[in-house]
Amino acid sequence: MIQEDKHPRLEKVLGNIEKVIIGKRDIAELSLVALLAEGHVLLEDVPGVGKTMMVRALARSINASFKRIQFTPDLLPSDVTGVSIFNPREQEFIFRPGPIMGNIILADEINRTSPRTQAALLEGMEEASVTVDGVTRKLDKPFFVMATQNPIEYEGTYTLPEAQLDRFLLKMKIGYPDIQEEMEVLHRAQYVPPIEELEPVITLEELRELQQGVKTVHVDDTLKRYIVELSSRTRSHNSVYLGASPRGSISLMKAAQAYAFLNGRDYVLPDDVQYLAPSVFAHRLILKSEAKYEGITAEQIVNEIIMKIPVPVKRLVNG
Amino acid sequence: MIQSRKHESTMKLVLYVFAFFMLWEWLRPVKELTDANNMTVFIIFMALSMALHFFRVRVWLRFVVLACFLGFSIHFLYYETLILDTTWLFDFFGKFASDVSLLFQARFLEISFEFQTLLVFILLWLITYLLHYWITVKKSIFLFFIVTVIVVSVLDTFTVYDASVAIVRLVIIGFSMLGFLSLFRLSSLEKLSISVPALRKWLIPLMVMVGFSSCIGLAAPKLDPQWPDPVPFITSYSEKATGSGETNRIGYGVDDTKLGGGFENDDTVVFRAEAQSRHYWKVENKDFYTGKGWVVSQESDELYTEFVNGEEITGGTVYPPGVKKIDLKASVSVKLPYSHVPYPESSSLNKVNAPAGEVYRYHFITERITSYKATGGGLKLKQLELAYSMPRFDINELKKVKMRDGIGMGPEFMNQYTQIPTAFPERVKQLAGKITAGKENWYDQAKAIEDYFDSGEFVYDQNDIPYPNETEDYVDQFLFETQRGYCDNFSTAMVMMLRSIDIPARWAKGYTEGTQINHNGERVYEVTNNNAHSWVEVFFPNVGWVPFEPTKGFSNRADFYYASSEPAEAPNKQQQTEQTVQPATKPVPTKEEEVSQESTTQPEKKAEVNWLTEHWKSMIAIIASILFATLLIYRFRRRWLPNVLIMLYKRKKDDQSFTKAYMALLTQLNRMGLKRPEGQTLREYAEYVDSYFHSGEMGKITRSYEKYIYRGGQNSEEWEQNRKLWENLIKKTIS
Repeated sequence: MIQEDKHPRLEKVLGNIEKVIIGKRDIAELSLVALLAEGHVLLEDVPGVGKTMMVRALARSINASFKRIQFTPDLLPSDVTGVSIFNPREQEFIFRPGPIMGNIILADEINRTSPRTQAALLEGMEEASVTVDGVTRKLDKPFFVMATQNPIEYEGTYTLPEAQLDRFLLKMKIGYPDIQEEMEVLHRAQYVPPIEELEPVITLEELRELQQGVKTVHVDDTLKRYIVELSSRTRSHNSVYLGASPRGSISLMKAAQAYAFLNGRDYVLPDDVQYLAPSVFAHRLILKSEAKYEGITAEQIVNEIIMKIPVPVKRLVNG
Repeated sequence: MIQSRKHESTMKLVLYVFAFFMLWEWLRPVKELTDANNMTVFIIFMALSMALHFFRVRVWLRFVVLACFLGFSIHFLYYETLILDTTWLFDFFGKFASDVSLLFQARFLEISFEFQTLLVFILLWLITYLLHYWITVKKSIFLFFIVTVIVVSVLDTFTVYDASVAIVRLVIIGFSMLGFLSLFRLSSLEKLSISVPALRKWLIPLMVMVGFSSCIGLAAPKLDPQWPDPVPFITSYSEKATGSGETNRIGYGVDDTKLGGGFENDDTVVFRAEAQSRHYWKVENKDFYTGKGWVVSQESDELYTEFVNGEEITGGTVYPPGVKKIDLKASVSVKLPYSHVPYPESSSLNKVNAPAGEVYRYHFITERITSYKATGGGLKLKQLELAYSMPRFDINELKKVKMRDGIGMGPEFMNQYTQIPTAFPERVKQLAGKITAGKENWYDQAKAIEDYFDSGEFVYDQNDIPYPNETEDYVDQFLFETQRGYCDNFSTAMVMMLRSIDIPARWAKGYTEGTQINHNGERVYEVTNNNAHSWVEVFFPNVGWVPFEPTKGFSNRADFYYASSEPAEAPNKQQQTEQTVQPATKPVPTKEEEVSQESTTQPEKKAEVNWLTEHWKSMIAIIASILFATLLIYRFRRRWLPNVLIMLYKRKKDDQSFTKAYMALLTQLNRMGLKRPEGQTLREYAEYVDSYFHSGEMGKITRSYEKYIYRGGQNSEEWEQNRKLWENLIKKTIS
């Protein structure tokens, strides 16, 4: 995490979230990064560590409509996208929007539902539109999905296919709070649930402006090259079966831009790239089974690559 | 706090005293092993230097005090004049200059005592500085301690020096110092001030341990030496160093009391002479043979005559009026200045004119000419102009001498020049008699002996020539046992054989004519140490001293002729004898002749090769020293490079200079040991560097640099703004 003065507006949002979620500022920042970069987040963690709370706090802070979809094995795609029902009085079908028609969506336990339903959500995430009964409907902007999934080992789950994992900008783990933080959590939970008291600090309109602002953050050619080197190195790594795709590179760049923006800079640093690379790349890599047996994780591999690829310290000459 | 600082300085004082004693251990054996007998001066100097270091006297003041002391000591040791009479200073610096040149020629044994003393002082000063550095800065004395122990034990093993007490002293001093210093190190590492109880806690166990272990060491039974005593070897070696032992001769030496041993090649140029004739160069001759070598029989002031620079010489060697002479001139430029004057052999010297010359003294027996200052004291001359008369020896005239009563042949003279040691082996005389049997005159007898050495039995060799042992005679050994040797062997043998048959002869020494190197069309002879030579002079009552050359491979350069007016010899017979008698000049071509022949055919190439062969040692030395210097400069680039960089980037304003300067800073920090892994970002590295220096400068400059390279804009002002920061940082890398 880079210690810098944050963008003032976004600092307010972070402060707002901190009122509810204790510690976990890095998770809050990463979530905000994904939101700013118009990407989506996959949270992989056990229940009860504050995933929902995090998303709700974020949603409330920006005054966005918040929807939650609890995925179950019997959930149908139409339960996500919405359905047209016949109105006898008007003699026509009326579209009843599903929960995906919101700004911030919490897709809880996404790996519990059938691949069909998962696909419905993921299409929406990728295209920013859904097609119901042959009609394509644009989704509102901003559109931000925070999906959670239980760790893969648990029974009765449908593992998300790699192609779909690739659609998440970041994957992260919240993790348990430490003792001090957890005591603080208990203390706050004793009285009013604090989430109810959160006031929005920026409007949706402002958020859209900020999202536009992120795109203007300068990524120097040296850093583009650095990003490409990192991602191409994942493809040739010994323990990796399938490396990061060019979409992975794009994601890393966008995330880095958002992170730089969050930190009040109009240019990206190698530090941004390094900080975000594990979150962006780890879920896009498929490890070889030998590596898995040896207990090597994708994060370790990404960190190892970061250590090895030289950081650009000079301007790129001759492109 | 003040209390603890006081304790600290007391402890430091103890350390300095200990260090002084440890260094003293180095000087103790010196007194026993060498003939240095005034060590007190060195010890005081050492103490003074340590004290100056301890009190942190300003550097220039230290220098002044020590230099004064040094001056006083040298004056005290070597000069008897008043110290305020500054002439001794001039004398000293004069010696200093010549000694420095000797030093670079690696002729260490010839360096004057004053200069040696000066060098010892400088060495001591350097060592005391090192000790000061080890105690105050490094807080570690282990290296010096261990080296001292090694030196003392090696001296104990290999020399007569007995270090059994010294080693006990050393153990006590050394271990106490180690203990003290490690306390210092710890306290400075942990940034603690040393309190009295802590000091006590540290000191008591230390003293107990050192005391206990020394007692155990003293009391414990000790093993006898496990190898034979190497002392005899070392004594012979040290004799060599002092010049009294068996040494290889190099070049021209003054001491001929113990002849023998190898003759070492040495290309050092002694002088170059521009001369009209080709002849040997004489320095002196000696008349008294001891059985082992040559000395001068008499030495008193009456045996000298003096003459002034540039004036006609009266009282030197004079050939009788009947001997034909040619007046010649030579100009000698001396490269290795001595105070003696080399002059053409067999000539009578008429005039010595040296630009810097003052007065000369001529010794009647040795015929040695020494240059003096008018005020007294030796004077080394670099340029000499000689005017001399070269005699021509008429062989017919020489052949006339058959008996010993001639001009100037008093009994005293005969005793002096036919002197033979009492224990001279009879067989030498027998051999001489055998060789000269049938020859009636001195000349023929001398020639017969001279020719005797031409036989195949004798070999010219410069290496591994043995010394005669206690009971052996030098000549006898050469003639009957080794039959191998160089000029000293041949010439001494011939002189002694002549003397054994009552022909007056003496031993002459100097240089051969050298190698002819033509310079601007002039005949120039270059004489090196390799040309040092000795030969024979025989006295003919009607002619004077006539040179002979018995050494194999060398030829007599003196001018012999048959007077055509001689009625006793028919012209064609004369022709014939001229060819047979010509052996005055030997038929064997000499080395010099071969060289000069070659040099006429391929002069340039030869000169090049010559130059290379003569100078290869110095070439290698120069190249090696350049390499070494380069290596040193490279090795310590961290110390000087920053200053160069500051100079370099101070005025630059272009776009690239920020990058270059920043990169130079990174390299410099890397050299300092603050390594940046390739995968580390500049910002992380800057944090690391700042935490090392306890500052924020690297962070600041790095932010600017990040902006400069990652933001895409052209910001040459960034460099302008950060130059000061950069300078500060790069200066920090020096310290």
